[in-house]
Amino acid sequence: MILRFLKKSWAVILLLLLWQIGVMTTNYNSIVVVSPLSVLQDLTMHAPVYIVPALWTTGFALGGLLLGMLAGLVLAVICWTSKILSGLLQSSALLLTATPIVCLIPILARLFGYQSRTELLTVAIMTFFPSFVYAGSGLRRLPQRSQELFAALHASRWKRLVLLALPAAVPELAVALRVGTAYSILVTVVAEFLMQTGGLGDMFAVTMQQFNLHRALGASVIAMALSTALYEASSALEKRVRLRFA
Amino acid sequence: MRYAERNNGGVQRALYQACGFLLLLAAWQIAGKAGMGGKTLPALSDVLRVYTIGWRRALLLRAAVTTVSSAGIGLLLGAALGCVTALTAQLLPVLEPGLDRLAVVVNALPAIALGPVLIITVGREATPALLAAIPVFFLIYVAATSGLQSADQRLGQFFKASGASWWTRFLYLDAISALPALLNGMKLAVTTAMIGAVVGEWFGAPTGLGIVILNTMQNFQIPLMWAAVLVVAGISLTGYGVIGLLQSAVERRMA
Amino acid sequence: MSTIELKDVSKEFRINRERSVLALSAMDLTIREGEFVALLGPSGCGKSTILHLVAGLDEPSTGTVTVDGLPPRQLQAKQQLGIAFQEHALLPWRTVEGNLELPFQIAGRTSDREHIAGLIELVGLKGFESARPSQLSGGMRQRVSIARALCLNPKLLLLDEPFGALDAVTRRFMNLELQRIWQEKQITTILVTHTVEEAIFLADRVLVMSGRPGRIIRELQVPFPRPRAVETMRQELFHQLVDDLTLSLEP
Repeated sequence: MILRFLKKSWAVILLLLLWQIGVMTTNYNSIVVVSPLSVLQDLTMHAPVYIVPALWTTGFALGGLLLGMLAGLVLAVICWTSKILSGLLQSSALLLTATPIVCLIPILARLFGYQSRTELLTVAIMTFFPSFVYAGSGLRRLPQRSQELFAALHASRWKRLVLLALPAAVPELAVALRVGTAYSILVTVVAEFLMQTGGLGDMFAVTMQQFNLHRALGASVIAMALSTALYEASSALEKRVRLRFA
Repeated sequence: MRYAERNNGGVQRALYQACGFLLLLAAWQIAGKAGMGGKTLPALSDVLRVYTIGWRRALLLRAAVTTVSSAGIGLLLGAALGCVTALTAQLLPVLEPGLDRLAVVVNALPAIALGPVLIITVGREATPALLAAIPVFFLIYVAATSGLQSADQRLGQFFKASGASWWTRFLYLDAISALPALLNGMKLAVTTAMIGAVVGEWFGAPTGLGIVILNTMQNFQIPLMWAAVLVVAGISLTGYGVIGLLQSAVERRMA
Repeated sequence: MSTIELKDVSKEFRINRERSVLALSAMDLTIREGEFVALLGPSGCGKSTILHLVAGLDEPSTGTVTVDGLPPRQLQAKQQLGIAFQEHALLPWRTVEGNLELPFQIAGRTSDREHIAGLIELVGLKGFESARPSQLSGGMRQRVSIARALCLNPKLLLLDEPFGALDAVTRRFMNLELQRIWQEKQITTILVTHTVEEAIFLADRVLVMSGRPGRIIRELQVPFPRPRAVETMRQELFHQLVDDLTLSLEP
């Protein structure tokens, strides 16, 4: 048990140790540089302060993730039905994939207001792309000769979608979910930081302004933990899906 | 038949894609002219006009050079670190679970938390490059790891049976097999590096496109802000396209 | 009734703007109802093209293909076509039973559980109903694939090198099994193969093809009575016919 934990976490622990030693050996002012131990202390002593922002951020991240994944899948299916639409949507999707969405947060904030819905929208747009791209390729990654089988049985377009293409896309959708979750918390936190709409990003911004660095870093540690946990959960899900579908 | 279809399909698809691109730009122009997004969504022509104004073009160019060099350094640094880490994991499988988690955790470091710390420790100028390097590191680590495992098992057995050394096998098989996955990762990493650089600049870098975006947003110079965002997108798209071309060339060579 | 007729059929595949390949040329062929015909030939001789044309998966460049006087597409629409490929083409996310339910679902009919159970027994996979393709051996997957082709009681069974990916021993065993299964159903069948023994052992009539452009160079009425068993393969005459056809396959 402990050995397994060490095997998976040795590198992270090493990093934290280096940080602690670094803080102890250099003489930076403790207001600007804090040690991991003091952050941990604040986390345990004032745990209740973090709960609401953490739930808020998680809620918006998952909500946006769901919205973005769904939109990506729907659009990928629409593309699947028509070559013309496929070309049209692919180019716009490519354009937007290459666009740094995070840079658009200021514009989105101007367009939709400094509100939580903008936060949701940012995460949704961010996670839309992996979903669209992976679902698009998944819908086309069919088992060998299955297309001919379906043609020989005179399968309708709808049956091809429901019985063949959609189940075939499930593993790729699982990848999209993993990639999307990797971003969701981070993007939510950046959006909250910029728009100060509540959640961990907001908490970070406010506590930074008060020079309460322990609390600010505590908030980001929580964000990291959430992000890592979500990522590992979706990785585990992806592994299971792969076993089932391949 | 297959060939003919593929050729026609390719040309046709490119045509549709071009149409889609133009349609998107047209939709923007119309939406902007109609004032659908209020003052924050100017028409495309108004944004493009920014590029014709000499001093603004100079401003954008100067900012772009700063941001691109930060992103470029971050891209190279992150890619090098990612490759080295992936190789370490490949060489010493015992370390792999720990390195996997390290990559995930490092990627989960919120830029907003790291930004202030980096500004204090490495300074304003170096922060954007380092913030760009972190997500690139993660992307390349994941891509290189899966790429290094993608070599045909039978070929691996052949190398083993032929008594090839680890180094020979790596040079002639693993490294080459990893190329497509690695280039795919690099393709995505271009955008990521640009994002990292721009966000890094938000923490108080003296110049750069991120600064232009932030300042213009606060001063409500909307066309200039869009012009800056378009420059960022254009650079990312160019990088994405160039590496994409390289990737398809490599894939064609290896198919 | 299902009589298959190919009249003056040719099929050309375009490679690019200048070049094209004539896969079939001036092909005339009639297959009677209930007949088992094997198309034998080297790879690339156009035998799979014939199968595709009969299945309505492809259109001839010239000439006509009819099944009972109607274009094959109509047979498709009535779901009276059973097809099995060398690549088993099973859906990896479905169990054996689920894969056999697929034709019913595509046809929009309620799946006939009893019929499916009967087919699973017929192909000798009782007890493997809830196994997934990845848990089965190559031979077992081909059994499922053949059972699936039989699901909707087709009027026409098309087998495109169904055992092409199997090892010699399994292949021989599967030939015996297919012979037994066919004996029970007696459906009009076209088998595409490049194995001489397989063609002679299974078919009523063997058509030997040569490539570029594909045409029939020889026709053999197989003299062995049904049901055939392992003993058939041990007869002197069987070996003679195999040698004979093997020789005619040589360029």
